[in-house]
Amino acid sequence: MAFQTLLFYLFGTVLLAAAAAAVTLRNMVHAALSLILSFFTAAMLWMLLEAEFLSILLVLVYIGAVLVLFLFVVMMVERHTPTIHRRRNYRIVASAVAAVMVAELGMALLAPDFSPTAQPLPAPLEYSNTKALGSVLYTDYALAFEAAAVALLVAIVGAIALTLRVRPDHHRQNPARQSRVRKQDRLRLTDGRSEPPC
Amino acid sequence: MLSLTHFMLLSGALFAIGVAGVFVNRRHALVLLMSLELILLAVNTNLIAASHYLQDLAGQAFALFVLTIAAAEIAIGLAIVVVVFRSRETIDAEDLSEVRG
Amino acid sequence: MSVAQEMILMLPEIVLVVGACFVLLCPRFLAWPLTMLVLAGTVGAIVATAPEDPALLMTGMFERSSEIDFLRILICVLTVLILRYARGHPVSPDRLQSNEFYTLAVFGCVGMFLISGAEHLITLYLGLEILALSLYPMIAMVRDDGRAGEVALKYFVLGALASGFLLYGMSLMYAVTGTLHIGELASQLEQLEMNRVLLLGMVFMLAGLAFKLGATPFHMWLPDVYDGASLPAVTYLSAAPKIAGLLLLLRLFSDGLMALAVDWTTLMMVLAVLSLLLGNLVAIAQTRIRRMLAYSAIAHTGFVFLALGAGTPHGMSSAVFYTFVYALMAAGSFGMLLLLNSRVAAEDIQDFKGLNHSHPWLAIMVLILMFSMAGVPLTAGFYAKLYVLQAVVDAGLWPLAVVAVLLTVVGAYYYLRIVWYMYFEEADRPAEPGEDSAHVFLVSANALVLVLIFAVPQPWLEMSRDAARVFVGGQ
Repeated sequence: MAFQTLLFYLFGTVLLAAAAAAVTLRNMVHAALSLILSFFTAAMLWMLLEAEFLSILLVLVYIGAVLVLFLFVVMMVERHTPTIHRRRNYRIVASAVAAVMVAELGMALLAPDFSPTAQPLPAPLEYSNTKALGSVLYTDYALAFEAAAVALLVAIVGAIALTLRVRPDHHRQNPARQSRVRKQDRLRLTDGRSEPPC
Repeated sequence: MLSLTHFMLLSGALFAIGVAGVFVNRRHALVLLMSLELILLAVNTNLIAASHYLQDLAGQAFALFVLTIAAAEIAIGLAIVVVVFRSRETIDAEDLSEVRG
Repeated sequence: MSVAQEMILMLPEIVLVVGACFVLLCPRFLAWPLTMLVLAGTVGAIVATAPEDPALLMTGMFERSSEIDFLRILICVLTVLILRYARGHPVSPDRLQSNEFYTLAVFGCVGMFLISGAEHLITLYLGLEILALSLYPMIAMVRDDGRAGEVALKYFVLGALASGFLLYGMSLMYAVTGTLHIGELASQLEQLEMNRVLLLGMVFMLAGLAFKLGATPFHMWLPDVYDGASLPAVTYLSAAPKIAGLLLLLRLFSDGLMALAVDWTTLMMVLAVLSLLLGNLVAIAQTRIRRMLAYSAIAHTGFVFLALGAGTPHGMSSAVFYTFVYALMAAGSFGMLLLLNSRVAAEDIQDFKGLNHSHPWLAIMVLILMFSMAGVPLTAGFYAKLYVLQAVVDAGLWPLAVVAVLLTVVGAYYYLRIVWYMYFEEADRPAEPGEDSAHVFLVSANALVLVLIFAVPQPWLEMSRDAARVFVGGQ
């Protein structure tokens, strides 16, 4: 138990430090990399909470695909202005907002009327988090599963509609027309004599 | 001994960092997107912690859907950033002076 | 209930999703007729499959009750109207990316339908996000104009932040109550001792929704979006999603969090008064018609919060009626704006000058729309405001009703200014509205319905009352 507590504080510290770095670092690429670090440590914390499937998902899919896409866009957009300038008064306001929120939450969570003491039973050896999640996902949450699929489709349509550029001067192949071409469309037989000079 | 309160305080702090990031980076679209990611990460940590301590899978299922939507949202967000970048060659939200609340 | 029966009751959603896929893939010239077909088919499916009793579907994640079907039909009708209005505009979807625009519009309806029946926080959240994910690209879509992208970015960031707040509130609720089911949440909350984590969760949820709906002090995106996005996208945003917003509030607060009503009614009243104050006062200073309509939207949102803040069934039904009328007024106003803008830009309030001289019929329609927005008798807007005020007074909050009346009178000024310009000022340059007769007919019908509702209010009020009853505290 004590070892888990140690891990919690270790990962928690790294998580918060990386998150703070992600929103304050001046170099955009560094900021994106700290974001990846914070997600990675969050995945470790989820592992501590025995949510193995989501934890692995976060590393493989989320960090592997989404955040790397993020890094691509950062590098594409940030060629010209790699550093960020922030105003001082924004920083003060933001720190104040964060401090107030943490204080509020701390007061609420540490108040005596909220004291969850329940400790979960250790899971049996043959328990599989993935299997358990899968079995509710396609039954209890079938509607949500479909709706999430719709949301992803909407995102695909939206993102392509926004970024697809059809340039009028762009030369494109039309395979249907290419395969329909006959010999006489393209080939003209002449009698071999050179044209008289004009 | 770890309890739900520990994890909720941690995710609360993460959430606050995310919100503060939105305030501090009002000028910069990409860092704004990163702050939004952190907010959703805090939400997911909260849900998973609650799910673990309540021995109830609903929280993990919700976290899975939040993760899905977060990916969809970031795709749209990056697409909009690219659109703005193409039209202006800048994504500094304050150079865009025409639009004012 | 068997799977087949559930599928039949889910038919409207299925028609919408399948239809949206066809709209996406069909040839460009078919996109418009197919969209109309899909929406008409959805209305048909709603009417044909209306159940006698409310039915819980899909393992309790979705509720189908025929009492709120009229709001779902209204969502479809408004979408049809809006897409038709948008066709004549120079940057109409037809001339841009018709398939994508119409697909997103239909998917937006899917999101709103999911919200309308959500019995589970996951369904609610996914519905909200499907709607939002359709709206962001629609707003960013006019790419030749740099402003649309910037405005979309602003809307996106604040929208995503709002979702984050809402979700964080939900996660706190879940941590305390251990359930995501709205009905179970309601019964859990009644048994639980009040604690600050619950209150904090409620505040986060309300802040997120206030962001989404554009209530002061979370309104800052709304004037920019109304002003900077393309007119077709703004028109879509301004009407049907307001109904979805109301349904969200009713589902979450009146249905799920009724046990915390003492606290959220107070907060809603604060939001209501601030929105009325800011919306009505700032609208006076506007010269661009779209910004004026944006501040007017904030003020109207204030009225909806005022009605819900009464915390009584009467307040809820008046909120439903108000939103119903407001969505029609907003669609009509933007339809009129699209008509006036279809050949020349007429975005300034000054452009209404002398409209009566050149186009007396259109002037009458604008008159009806503006009177209804202001709440002048002989139009539906009058009844809508009256019922809200009655509900507020019944709840014993008459000082708030007095404040609302005073601010409404102030707000009437900027609607009536347009009427004044139309009838009593000379035009600087002649108005050139479009000559699309179907568009003129639809806008006129849209405006005249507002008079009809004033003349025969009873059936609409009955429907609003029945709809509100669905949400009363999990009963």
